[in-house]
Amino acid sequence: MRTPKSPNKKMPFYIMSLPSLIMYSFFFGIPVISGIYYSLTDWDGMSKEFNFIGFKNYLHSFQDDRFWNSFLFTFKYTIVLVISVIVISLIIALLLNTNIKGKGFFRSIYFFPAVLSLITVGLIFNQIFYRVVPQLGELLGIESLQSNILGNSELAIWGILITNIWQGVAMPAIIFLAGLQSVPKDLYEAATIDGANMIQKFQYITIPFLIPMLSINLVLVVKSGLTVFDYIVAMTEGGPGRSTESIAYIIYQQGFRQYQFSYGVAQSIILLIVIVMISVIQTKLLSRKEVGQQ
Amino acid sequence: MKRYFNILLSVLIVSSTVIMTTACSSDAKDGGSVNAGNKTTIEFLNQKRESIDVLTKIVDQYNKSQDKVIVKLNSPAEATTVISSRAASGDLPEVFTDWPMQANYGQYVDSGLLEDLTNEPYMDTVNETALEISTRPDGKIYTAPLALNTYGIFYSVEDFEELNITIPTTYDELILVCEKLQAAGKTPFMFPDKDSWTVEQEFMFNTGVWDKNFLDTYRGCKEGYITLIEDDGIQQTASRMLDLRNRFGQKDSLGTSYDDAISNFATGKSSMFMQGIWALDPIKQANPEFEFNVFAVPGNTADETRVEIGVDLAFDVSKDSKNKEAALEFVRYMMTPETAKLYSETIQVPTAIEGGNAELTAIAPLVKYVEEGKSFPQLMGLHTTDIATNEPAVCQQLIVSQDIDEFKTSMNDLWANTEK
Repeated sequence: MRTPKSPNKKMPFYIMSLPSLIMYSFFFGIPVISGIYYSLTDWDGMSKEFNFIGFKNYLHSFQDDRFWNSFLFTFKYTIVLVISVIVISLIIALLLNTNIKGKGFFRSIYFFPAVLSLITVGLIFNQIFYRVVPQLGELLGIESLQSNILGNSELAIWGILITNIWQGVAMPAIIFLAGLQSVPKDLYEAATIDGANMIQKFQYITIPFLIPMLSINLVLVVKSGLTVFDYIVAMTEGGPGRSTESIAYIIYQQGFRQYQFSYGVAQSIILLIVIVMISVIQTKLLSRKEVGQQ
Repeated sequence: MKRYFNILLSVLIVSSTVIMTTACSSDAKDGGSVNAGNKTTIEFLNQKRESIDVLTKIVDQYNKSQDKVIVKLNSPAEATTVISSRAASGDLPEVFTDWPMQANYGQYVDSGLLEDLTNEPYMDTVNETALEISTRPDGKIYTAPLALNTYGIFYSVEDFEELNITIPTTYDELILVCEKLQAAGKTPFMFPDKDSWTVEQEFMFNTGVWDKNFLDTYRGCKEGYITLIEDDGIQQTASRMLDLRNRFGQKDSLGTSYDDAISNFATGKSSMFMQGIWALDPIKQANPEFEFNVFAVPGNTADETRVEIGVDLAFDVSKDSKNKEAALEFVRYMMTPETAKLYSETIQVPTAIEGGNAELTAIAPLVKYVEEGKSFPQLMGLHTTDIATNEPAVCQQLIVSQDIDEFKTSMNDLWANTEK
């Protein structure tokens, strides 16, 4: 039996999402697919001819010291970054959630770093580490701070981390704050009546509501750690030597400066797979602990 | 009513997206040749942002001087990447600027992108070293070198006059100068070692001053019959680099970047600064009242002193261009003494064309050597892409580890094992 034609109520929604879908496919989908294609060739990024070489780029990467070095650096960096940013941004969010005077003002101040460009922040910290920190080091008598730590292959990673943490806590703090504000106040009241102390309230009420936010923040911070690039360009260019080369940095160098385009693309695909795996695992682990899931 | 509103909104969004994307793509196809009426238009892509003004002047002059060809000057940001991508899509501009000492030039030649300019008439008027730099292994020249740069030691006039110091003409005299400055409580040198390219340059350029046969040595290493580990030249340069830093350099050279070093030297924190003449303008800008001059890096004996030359501005012609004759004519116009003098005057650099130098008072001591033919090309000319990307880190590592043997081994590995 044929039904009379009725207007598809979902049509406006499909049309509205079309621009985003087109842009997403064009700027993300197609480049990823063509990237995978190029990673299987030996194209240097400029010649008119190139050959299909299968998985040679991937095999070569796994044997490349520079690649493993950057992998190690990137993972070390990410782990420290994630722990520091999550802990510090949570503390900031808890403080911003209290009823202090000028709450709105402080929230704007703490969010401000998030709107600055990464390169600008990197360049400013670059100067701070060159001109300000050594003077502090002399004042406090700490020898390792008396020269530019960015010029020291052991300490340079910390210079970049400090810069990244300073800027990186802003967004997660606001996200945690949103989570904190979504907790119904009467739950806290009920807990107080039942005789719970601050720590218990935090553990049994606050944290379950924060899990979705924690999940989002983890994805964001892990991704920004694994793809750290801007700060390295602004502050150390991977140096001294190769001590601060991240995966993203060597991918860029190889792809656009060293005429090894297909090699760089292969490594970026490897990075993509790693990030996806980590994000999936971490989201699954945390979604079991979300409020309303048990 | 609501439904119509929804549809209108969707249409607006979609159409604005479409407009945005077409606007983005129409920007890209700015260059390329067009036959506007009877005139041919060719595109001249410039990579040197410092030279935009003087090149605009030259292009205007050319366009006014004849009415067959219009040259359009295009100076995009990230120009090197633009050229690479346009090469990949087969849409190179007719004429573009280049640096023959850099690996890119070799890439373009090997990819078959450049026109052979060996027999162009102006090549007879070009400085020997500049020609040497521009000649590829097949003996042909694929670029027209116009402007040169060179390297020397900038010094504070006030510091030198105060201590009655005369310009050193041998390396030993340079050491005496350093000792004198140091005894008077001044820091002789400022080294920007945080930026590894400066360390690499210092190594390459000074090797050329102190080791006459360096080009043969490195060529031999590439071909496998010379080992750098036993080479005296590299040993001498490396130990002198360390010596100058450890005894006469500023504290924490590895934490000092190129920009920091410029502003430090300009504000009197050191008496001397070894750098290319490209540092002239930045130093002036950092401190317009600072009085400084320059002298050539002294050789082992006064006679041996010669200066390094690099080609700062050269012109490539695209081999597949549709208006090749017009492009070649334009390059011939630029490679004349008159045009060279204009460029030299404005940018204050020596040019490779005979009789094409303006009065360059600020760097006169160095220009003297160039004009007398006492110059040598950069080691960069022998670089493959491998070497070009890894050598800066290797040189910087010498300063970090202070280990000359490790340095010699790394350099030898780099040069002996290079692929291309």
